[in-house]
Amino acid sequence: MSLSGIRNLKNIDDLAGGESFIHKLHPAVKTLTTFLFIVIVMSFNPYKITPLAPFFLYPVVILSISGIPLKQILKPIIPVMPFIIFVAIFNPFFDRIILARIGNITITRGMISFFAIMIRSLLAISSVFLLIATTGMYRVGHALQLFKVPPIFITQIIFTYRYLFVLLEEIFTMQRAALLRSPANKHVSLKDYRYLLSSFIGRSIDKSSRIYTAMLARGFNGNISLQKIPSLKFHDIIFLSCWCIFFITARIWNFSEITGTIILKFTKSFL
Amino acid sequence: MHMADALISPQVGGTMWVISAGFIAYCAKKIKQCLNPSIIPLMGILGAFVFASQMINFSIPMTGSSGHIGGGLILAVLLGPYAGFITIASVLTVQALFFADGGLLALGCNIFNLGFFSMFIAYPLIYKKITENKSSSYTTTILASTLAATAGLILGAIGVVVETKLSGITALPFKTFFALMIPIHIAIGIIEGIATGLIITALLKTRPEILSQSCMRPETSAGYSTPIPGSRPVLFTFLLATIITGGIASWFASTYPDGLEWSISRLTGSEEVPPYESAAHQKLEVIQQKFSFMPDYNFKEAETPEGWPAISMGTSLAGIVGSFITLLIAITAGFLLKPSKNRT
Amino acid sequence: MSHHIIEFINVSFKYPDGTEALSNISFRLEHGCSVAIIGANGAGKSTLTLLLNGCLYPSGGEVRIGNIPLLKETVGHFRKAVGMIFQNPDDQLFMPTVEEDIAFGLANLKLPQEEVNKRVAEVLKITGIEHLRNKPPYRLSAGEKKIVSIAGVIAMQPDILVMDEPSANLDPRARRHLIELLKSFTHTKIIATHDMEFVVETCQRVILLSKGKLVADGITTKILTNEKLMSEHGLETPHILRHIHPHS
Repeated sequence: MSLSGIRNLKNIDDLAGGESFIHKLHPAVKTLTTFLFIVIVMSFNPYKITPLAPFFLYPVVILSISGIPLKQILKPIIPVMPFIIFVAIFNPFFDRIILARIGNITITRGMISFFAIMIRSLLAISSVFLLIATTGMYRVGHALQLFKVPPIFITQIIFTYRYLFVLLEEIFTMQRAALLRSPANKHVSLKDYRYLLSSFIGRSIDKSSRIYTAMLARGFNGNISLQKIPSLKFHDIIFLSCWCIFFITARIWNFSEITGTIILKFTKSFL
Repeated sequence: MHMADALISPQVGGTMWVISAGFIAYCAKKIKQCLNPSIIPLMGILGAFVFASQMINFSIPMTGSSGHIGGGLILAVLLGPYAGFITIASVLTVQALFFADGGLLALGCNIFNLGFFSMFIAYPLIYKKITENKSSSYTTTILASTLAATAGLILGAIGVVVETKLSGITALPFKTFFALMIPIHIAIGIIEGIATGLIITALLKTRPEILSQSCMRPETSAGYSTPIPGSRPVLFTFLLATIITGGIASWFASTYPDGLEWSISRLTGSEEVPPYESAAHQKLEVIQQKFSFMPDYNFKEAETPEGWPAISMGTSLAGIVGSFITLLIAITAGFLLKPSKNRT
Repeated sequence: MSHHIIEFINVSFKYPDGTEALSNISFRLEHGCSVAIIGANGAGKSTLTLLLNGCLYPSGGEVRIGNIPLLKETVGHFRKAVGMIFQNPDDQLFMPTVEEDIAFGLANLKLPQEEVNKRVAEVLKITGIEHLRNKPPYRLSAGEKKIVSIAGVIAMQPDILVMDEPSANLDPRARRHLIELLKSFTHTKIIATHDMEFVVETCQRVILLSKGKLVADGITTKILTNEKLMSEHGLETPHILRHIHPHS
């Protein structure tokens, strides 16, 4: 990341300001649905790929209705995928149990689980990005109140996020200044790093004292009061229920096999 | 780089979530008892600080590569274990939600691996024990932070390996995984420890008051806690021994559950498709029966056209054809739902 | 508090490290006046502002608002009567959205929700930033952030506004907007600043500090046109007062 990279991050917040049906849904409902989605996708046997296909409906539907451009979701996903590949790549190497031979191609169990991991990751990551893109970090944070998350923890998520960009800009500027005075170095030396970071900590702590003073000046007395979250509406419950039913049924019955069987039967009856 | 959802089973993920949530609640309660409310914005700023500092690399002398600090240990030193735990947990949460660095299901594991070991083991049992003598020299401080960071990272790495193996999704054999993780994390730990130690000693010189703020260590207001008489040398020796054992001797150790070794022998080339039942899975079966109301369903009437080899992959031709069609349906249906005014 | 007369009576302040930031400062401000606190860097301007709302307590002498002296027991009154706007808006806007930030202080006043909503809407209108209601502060320009921080403070309906370098980092248009806004306020205004032109436009009275001591206290034009006095204490007469137009 760099000074310019920060700008890209801020764009995700812009997306959260949309007006679609999805944007207007209760943030706690969206968070819970996303979480259940991930849990159920991950509950599959790791060697099963075919039953995962119907699960693509969830991210695609959210993407469509919310009006978020596909490009905006792919942009943050792409840098993450290499890490997933790195982790999944061990499976074909270590799991060489042969499951099938098609012509000259051997299909091992490891290959299957590799693809399964990739697909499951894609589903999980895209659903989380869509959650943030349609809700924003703050509203997700606030929504956690419904799940009885301690207010101090919610406040920390919000504060950390609030000051993230400020501190990122500060430290990149400091790094740039340091590098401009150490020619031909790509990274700061350990000695410079030591002083860069210790002064950064000092400045950050001073900043937090000033923030605390400002909070006191407006009457803060140590009690954290979080913004009230909107109440659940009828369509929120419907949204959650419908998706839960879909996730559960798609988990129990392999829709892909059912569809495929029907198609093959049809095809055969025509031949 | 934190653990992704794809390698964690819901059972392991869920368990770690419960454990981490418990710690978060516990620390939240401890912080409430703190009489110094200025810690609230401080935790947020330092959370953002950890984020920012992870973006800056320093060149590691004589290697040509670079490194950065993780932040666990410095948070523990600046905030104390309870506020530090909450702070690192919030950083990990923002990373998981906003940057897809670590999954939501794996968040409980990540919070535990990175939070618990650094805040409640490495910091109090190693760093504080070595540096509690207020006249600790700079060398001692750097040594303490190096040991603490390394221990914390090794324990965290062990956590990752155990959680991944119990989930049973990766095919990476336990010993290989271990052999990969431990040396890497020792190296990372030494780098982080030295860097953190250097930063702490720089602060001792320029801003010593930062390191002795009250209330951050609820045990006392003076800064360092009083040692439990007599236990220090024993504890220290024990920990050192554990680290050495874990780091080097584990390859030959038989102290690990035999069940996890099972997977190695099972993966040595049999052509049969074994049922998916690792030992860990067997042990968790009871729990799983209760948890899983979703039995696998096999559509038995699938026919394979002549000429194709029998595919015993646990699926059938119908499944493969069907999944492509289903995918197509899912995507088409999804896009059809696009409100017309949004279609570009 | 009676007519919010502000008094510094022989006020001194020493920082914990021994630095004497203010020594023997005395002045009296009537309700509704606009006073600029000017001086070179390190003269004690910021310290003075922090004493006004109870962020700091005097080491010697007394700070009074109405007839109530600043003590640990009375600091609540001071915080209610005095609204402080800090130099760096990032230090002050710590809530996720503009709306929530303005509501922060009101929630601390323990006002009922309807009253909070009413005041937020009112203040957004007065300051002309209704369109920023749901925006996160880090997306705003420096000028916008400054207005938001002012909005958050005036929503609490203080009688006295204290500002530390309000025009710093503002582009000309934002600065102009700020000047117009301040002219429209009837609060007592105490503004610590380097921006002499700003002083001429907004404050009728000036207090000049130098090395912690009060060196001059009087009408803006009189003090700022005293070139000898200004340069002796690290300042300069602003151009706007050097050239007096025949039609002004």
